[in-house]
Amino acid sequence: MILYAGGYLAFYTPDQNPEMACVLADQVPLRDLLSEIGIPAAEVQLVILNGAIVDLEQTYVQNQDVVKIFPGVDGG
Amino acid sequence: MPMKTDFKVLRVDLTTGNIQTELLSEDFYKRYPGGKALAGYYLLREMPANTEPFDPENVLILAAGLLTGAPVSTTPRYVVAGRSPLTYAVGSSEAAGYWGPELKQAGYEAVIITGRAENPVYLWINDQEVEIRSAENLWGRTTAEAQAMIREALGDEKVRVLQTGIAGENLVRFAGLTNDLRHFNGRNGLGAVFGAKNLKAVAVRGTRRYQEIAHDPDGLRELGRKLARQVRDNPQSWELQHRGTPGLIEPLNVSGMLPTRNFRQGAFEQMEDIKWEAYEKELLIARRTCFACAVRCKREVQIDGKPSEYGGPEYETLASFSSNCGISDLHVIAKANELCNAYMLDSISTGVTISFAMECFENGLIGLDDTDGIELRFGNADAMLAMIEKIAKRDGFGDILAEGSKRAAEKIGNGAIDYAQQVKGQEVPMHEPRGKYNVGMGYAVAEIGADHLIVAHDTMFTNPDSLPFRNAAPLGITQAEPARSLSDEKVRQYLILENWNSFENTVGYCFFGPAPRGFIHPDDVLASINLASGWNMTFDDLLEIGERAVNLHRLFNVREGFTSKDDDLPKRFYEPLENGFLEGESIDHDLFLAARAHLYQIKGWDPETGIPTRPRLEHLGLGWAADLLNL
Repeated sequence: MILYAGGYLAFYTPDQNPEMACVLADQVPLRDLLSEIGIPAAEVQLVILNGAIVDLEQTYVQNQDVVKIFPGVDGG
Repeated sequence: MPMKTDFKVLRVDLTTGNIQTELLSEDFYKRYPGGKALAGYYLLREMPANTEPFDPENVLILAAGLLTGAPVSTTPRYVVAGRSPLTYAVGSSEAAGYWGPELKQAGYEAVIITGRAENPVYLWINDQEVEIRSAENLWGRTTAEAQAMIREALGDEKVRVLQTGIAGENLVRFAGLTNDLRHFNGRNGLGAVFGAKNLKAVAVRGTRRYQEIAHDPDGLRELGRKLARQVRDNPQSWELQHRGTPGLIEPLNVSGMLPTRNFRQGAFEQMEDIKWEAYEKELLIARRTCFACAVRCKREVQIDGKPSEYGGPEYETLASFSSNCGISDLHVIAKANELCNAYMLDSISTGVTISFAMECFENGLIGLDDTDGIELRFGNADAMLAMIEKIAKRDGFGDILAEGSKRAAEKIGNGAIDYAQQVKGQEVPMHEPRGKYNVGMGYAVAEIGADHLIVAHDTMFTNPDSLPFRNAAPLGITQAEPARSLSDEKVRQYLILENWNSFENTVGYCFFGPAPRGFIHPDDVLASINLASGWNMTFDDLLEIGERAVNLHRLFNVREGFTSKDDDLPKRFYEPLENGFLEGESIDHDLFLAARAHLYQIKGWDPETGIPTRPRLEHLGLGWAADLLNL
């Protein structure tokens, strides 16, 4: 699957790269995957799974998925 | 004396050419420690009521803050204030860069400018030597040309130049100011007040180091070093360093909060063409920073293969000319940014005034006969660039738009006011209030008109475990609230956050420094104040400094006849968004007005009129101001 960590969430990814490919053995809860990568779930405010906005707590992901996550967005 | 300075203020009367200095007491400065608070004090004290913004009696205040120029990241800011020709309310606009620290190094806390020069002039402050010089050869020049000519005339490439541009000379009501061509006092049209005074620029050079005046220079330096190291350890400042504010485009778009086509929509279908990755590929050539700041959030870009002299578009500029005008070509946006900075127009007001005109055109309120033959439709990039030129030069239809969207709407008539997205006459910035209710409250009640830096945005306080929320706890924010809520708790948080931002704008901190928006924990913010001043302040003291400044600005507006009727949002935000994640969402007007009344009440203001009450003013040490207004 492809995971895109938007905004400051890229800070938490390996190499601080916003986009990463993940190979999954099976369907897994997104929250568990983020925990494994090191992205704090508390910082994730918006999840887009294959183009649709979903609830982090209810979301499972698998290999062919594209997931985008974003933090709360402030101004500037 | 804890601080080793005499708190000097420079006074310049452009009519007589008289130049004087005066000294402030430390007790006084402790109550009004620069920036917004000091400017608010002088505007209320010294400007006669009902002064026309373009009259010589308008008082211009250029004020650094307590921390401006300290060896601490994100403390380069200063304020330019006066009566705004755009809103006719108090005008107050902050900028970062290098000019504020240089003024402080020259030994001044503030410059107060009155009168009007007979011919164009600029002010040259070289430490304690101050001179009014002719600017007749600078009038009509782009800002890059004028800065180069001033530096050449003074024989010093390091002179810091704060200047208006051609738009200010032409009294465009949303003309701004720039220093070093990349940092902008954009809002409130104060560049036009420079123009009305025949004042082209204020050039500064100073040699006094901040460490010479700090109470505890070693402690302050050590804190500054610690904070510089933290920039890379904090996700928010890391993001600003890597992407800068253009990184906001995609998350705001997916959240349904990217202003699109004059705020009718919240998502832009061509967002992929303008998001950060496209910006990085198409435009970015380097990163820059402000005085002594490790965040480095400024972008350098290329246009037509050449480095721009004016830096790259920030998020506000990017959105106001792209999604807001229906345009997706980043090179056009960079060109629009360059034009605004060369002529010195506020890019937010320019973009939103043009999008207003585009909506008028598409709805038949104006036609080709009105627009000098220009098809002013959403998505027409050539039309947008042409209109920027026309506004700056007050040419043809540009002369009407140069008045700002509110006045232009009144001139056009036929309900055009419904398309003018403005509060108190100032155009709304690039944050969708239908998704962030406290941001909307800030747009409505801010004394300076709609602005996005009045409070930290709602979306940071929705999860109690998130970093921004946890960092806000010392300020008294301990309960998570939805972004789309106006509960009593949310209004209470608004008040704390408004006072905190007002404090930042007083002492010289950038919005990107202190938490919750920035990386500096409130404990370290407090430490920086006390190390610099030796005043042993508390958080309550800092919030009170901010509150005092807000009240001074409010009193200025009260004196000029502003009422609670002026503290409201444009009609559009009470109507549903047309697309995006928040499609169909609107703000309930009754709910909004009830929350506003509650806010007035907890501010110690009359809940109906929004006028500060004498007891609250006396609590803030502003009994003299209550006397002045007979409250």
